[in-house]
Amino acid sequence: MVEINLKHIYKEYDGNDNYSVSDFNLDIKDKEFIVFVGPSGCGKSTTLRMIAGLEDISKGDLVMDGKVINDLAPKDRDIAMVFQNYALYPNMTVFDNMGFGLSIKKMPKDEIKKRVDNAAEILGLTDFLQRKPAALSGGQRQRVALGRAIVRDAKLFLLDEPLSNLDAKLRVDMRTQIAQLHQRLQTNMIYVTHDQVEAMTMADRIVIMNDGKIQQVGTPDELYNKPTNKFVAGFMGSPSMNFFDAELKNGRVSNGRGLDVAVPEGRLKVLREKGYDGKKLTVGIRPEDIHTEQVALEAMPDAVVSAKVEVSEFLGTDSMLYSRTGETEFVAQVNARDYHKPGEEVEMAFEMSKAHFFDDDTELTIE
Amino acid sequence: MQETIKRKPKRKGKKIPFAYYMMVVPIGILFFIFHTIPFLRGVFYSFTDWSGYGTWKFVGLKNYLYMFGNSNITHAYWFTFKFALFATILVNAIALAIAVGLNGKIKYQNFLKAIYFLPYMLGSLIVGFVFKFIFGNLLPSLGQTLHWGFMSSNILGTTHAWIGILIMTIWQGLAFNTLIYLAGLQSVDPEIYEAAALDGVNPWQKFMRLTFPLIAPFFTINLVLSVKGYLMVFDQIMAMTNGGPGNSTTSISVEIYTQGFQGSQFAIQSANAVVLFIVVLTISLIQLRVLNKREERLG
Amino acid sequence: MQANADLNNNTPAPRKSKKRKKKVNWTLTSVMMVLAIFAILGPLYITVVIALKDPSQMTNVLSLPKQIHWENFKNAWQMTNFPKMFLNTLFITVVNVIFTIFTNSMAAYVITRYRLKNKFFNMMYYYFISAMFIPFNVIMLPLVKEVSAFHMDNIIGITFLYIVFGLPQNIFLYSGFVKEIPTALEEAAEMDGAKPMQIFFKVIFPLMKPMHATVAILSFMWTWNDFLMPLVLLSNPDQQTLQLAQYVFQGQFSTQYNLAFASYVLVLLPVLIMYVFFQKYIIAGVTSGSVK
Ligand SMILES: Nc1ncnc2c1ncn2[C@@H]1O[C@H](COP(=O)(O)OP(=O)(O)OP(=O)(O)O)[C@@H](O)[C@H]1O
Ligand SMILES: [Mg+2]
Repeated sequence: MVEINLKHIYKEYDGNDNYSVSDFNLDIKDKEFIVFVGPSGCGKSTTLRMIAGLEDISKGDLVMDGKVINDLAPKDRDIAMVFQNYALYPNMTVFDNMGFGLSIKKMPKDEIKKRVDNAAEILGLTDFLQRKPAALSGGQRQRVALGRAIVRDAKLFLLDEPLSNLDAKLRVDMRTQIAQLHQRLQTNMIYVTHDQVEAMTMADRIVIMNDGKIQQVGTPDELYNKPTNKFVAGFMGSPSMNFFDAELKNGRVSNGRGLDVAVPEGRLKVLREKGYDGKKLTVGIRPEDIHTEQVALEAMPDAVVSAKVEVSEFLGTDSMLYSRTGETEFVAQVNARDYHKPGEEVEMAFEMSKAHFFDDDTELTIE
Repeated sequence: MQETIKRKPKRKGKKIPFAYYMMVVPIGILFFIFHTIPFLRGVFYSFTDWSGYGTWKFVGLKNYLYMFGNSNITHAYWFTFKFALFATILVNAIALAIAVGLNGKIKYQNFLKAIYFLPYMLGSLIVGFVFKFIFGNLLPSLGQTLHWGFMSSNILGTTHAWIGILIMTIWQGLAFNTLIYLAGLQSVDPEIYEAAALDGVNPWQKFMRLTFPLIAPFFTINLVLSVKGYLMVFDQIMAMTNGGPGNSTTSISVEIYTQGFQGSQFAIQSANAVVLFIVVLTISLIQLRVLNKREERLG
Repeated sequence: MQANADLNNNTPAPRKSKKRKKKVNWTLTSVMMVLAIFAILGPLYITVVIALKDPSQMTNVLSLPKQIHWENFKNAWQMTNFPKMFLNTLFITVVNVIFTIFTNSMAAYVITRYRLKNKFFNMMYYYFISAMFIPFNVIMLPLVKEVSAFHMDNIIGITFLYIVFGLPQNIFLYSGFVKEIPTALEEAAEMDGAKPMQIFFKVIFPLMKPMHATVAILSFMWTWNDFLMPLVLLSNPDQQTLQLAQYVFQGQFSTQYNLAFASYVLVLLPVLIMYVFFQKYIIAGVTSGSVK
């Protein structure tokens, strides 16, 4: 229903010399589900609040459907927002909470009722409409907050860590509910979270931020498989990627402290072309790309290390092996059938065709 | 298609809507007109010889110097300080004792609490009148029947009149102070006492080492409010003695009122008011500082 | 977020377990009871008894009246022009409470919310808070001149002054409370399209209910029992309050103690009745107004 463009947006708070958000550029297409993800304090909420109009934009343009709306009051932007702590009006019933925005707009009573009932139906809140928020569980409050946004029928939904106050199971349930809601409403949503799993599972596109700057924008698949820099590679995925400071020599990367594996021909060619032969670089490999099965060991004979398992976590289908080779520590995620007890010496194959290489100085992916 | 609006590159903060100013500024202006301007005018007059009407001229510090030489005014200060000191100490000591009693393992606790708080509801003027009768009629006649010399005359007519006022003030002042101390005592977690009991602490140590430090903030509130209130003492004096006999119970407030309005000392009493303000301010600030420091140490 | 529950939360929590209360200390109970009856209720008993007697029964002041003289009240009622004084006082009190709650809470809300973001509101905050240190006695001489110049030496004028003079204390009281209300509530209302006044009256004002109760009680007590302000500001006999009338009529009562005391009872009665009914709220309100 709406296109939004953020053009070179900067935010500088009073009494805070650094930009909390700098040079933020993003074009949001119609009906997209965008997720802002990043560590705490990276400026996600700030960006969201600038879009909402709750914070002034220090520099840059916020464009909605072709119009610069930097100075438009929040109430005139037709944006609905769900807050982290829900921000339900404690003195009003669930019904009044959801209908508040509509009654402010002087909508007829029966129309309000129709919309609220409809939203309550979708969210399973019909039985609670006459209750006060204090008499609801966390998950119910969360849904009221969503309902308040739904009834407004706004052009854009903003959600700031809406699930962070829920317990793990409820969080997963609500995750699906919100995704379904997006399907159903077909509006643009911008969703803020610091949980990369939420980001991966819900987003059409993810905007990953650090230190007030966008690191990468892309689909979950792009971010996971083609991270543009070391930060993105490390942030996406759990457990996170193993990084090694190593040197490329004779077609092998080694750190002189236990790690020494061959780089496959194709990757090697690129690295050589970029002039990394004989130079230091950072090697990254995801835990699931380290294998213990016999087949793998045979297929990649020159990328095998022998490691000692220090801690072993059984997770059902997989198990995590916190291992060490020489003085180098890393994590491998292997099939649960390949369970190994702590203390065991195990041969492990590094699937280097899936490895990532980063420049030591710029931390950018070498490609 | 795109409208670009010239904006200052770095406008900080979020603009506060005009409506919010309208919620503060008008009443702020009224406050300025009716509170601050009189205050400033009072300070101004204290440097003049204005008598409340007619012409005036600046006299510098003359009014202030006059104050120190005028025995009525110096006596009013002496009386007020003495009164405030005794009233503060006695009210707080007794209130603390009552609060500890109310906080004990007693029955009818809420009922008793309500009774002890009752005097707070009553206007000091009326209470003053009632006590005036008690001191002036009831006690003397009782004293005469019992042949108790010290009670057979009206204390308000003697040089001890201030004690009569003090007693009435204590009677009424206890209510509020007791309530605050009780709130303090009830905020203490009983488990602390249980722990102390296991350590073999005796009741006196318990009070001095545990209870008192824990209710120190409440002590601060009471002390500051008491001193400030008693330095302003007015209603009960007007009810009981009108400042007499002679001027023995004339407090600073009574002096400002009688001499400022009825006498012709408008300017001098303006100076007196300024000095009273400085005294109250200084004492309040010193108290807050000292007591907060002590609380920090205790905490 | 739902922390600002109801007024009762401000009363100190009753002591945790019933178990601890089991062993009643009867000695202490008796001491507290006797003290309460003699020291606190004694003077009130004297007041009522005298009000019900006639001079012939005054030889033994403390005894119960043999014959009840209700006419004391009638006479006092007429003599002090009680209905007029009562209505005057009631007017001051009620109008003051209503306007104080609306205007002062509004100012306090804005000042508290924006004082960290905006120098002007921060200045206002310190302005009002420092005015708390200026007692009325200090400003009364010039104020009286000013008030008579504005022709405000009447009931309406003094009511207006009470509303304005309560600001420092009430801003202080409300401010502590507003700080606890999460700003997300206002932001949510803003996103819902509410304008500043709507945000305040529909969202914030109802949440301040516990503090409104405290402020109402303190304002009521102040205006009902105040003597000094009426004394210096009101002169017209028609424009006096109950307290002031008691003072003015002292001379006329002279030694007609029964009449005088009947009159005191008439003044005290409304407050006492209110206390009987709302005792719990009054105590809670006064407590929460003084301790955080
Ligand atoms: N009102 C403010 N004044 C000054 N600095 C602020 C303000 N609000 C946020 N900041 C700063 O701006 C930066 C970004 O904050 P923001 O709240 O956007 O982070 P976030 O990504 O939402 O983090 P989280 O995941 O913890 O919510 C932080 O460094 C923060 O300290
Ligand atoms: Mg945030």
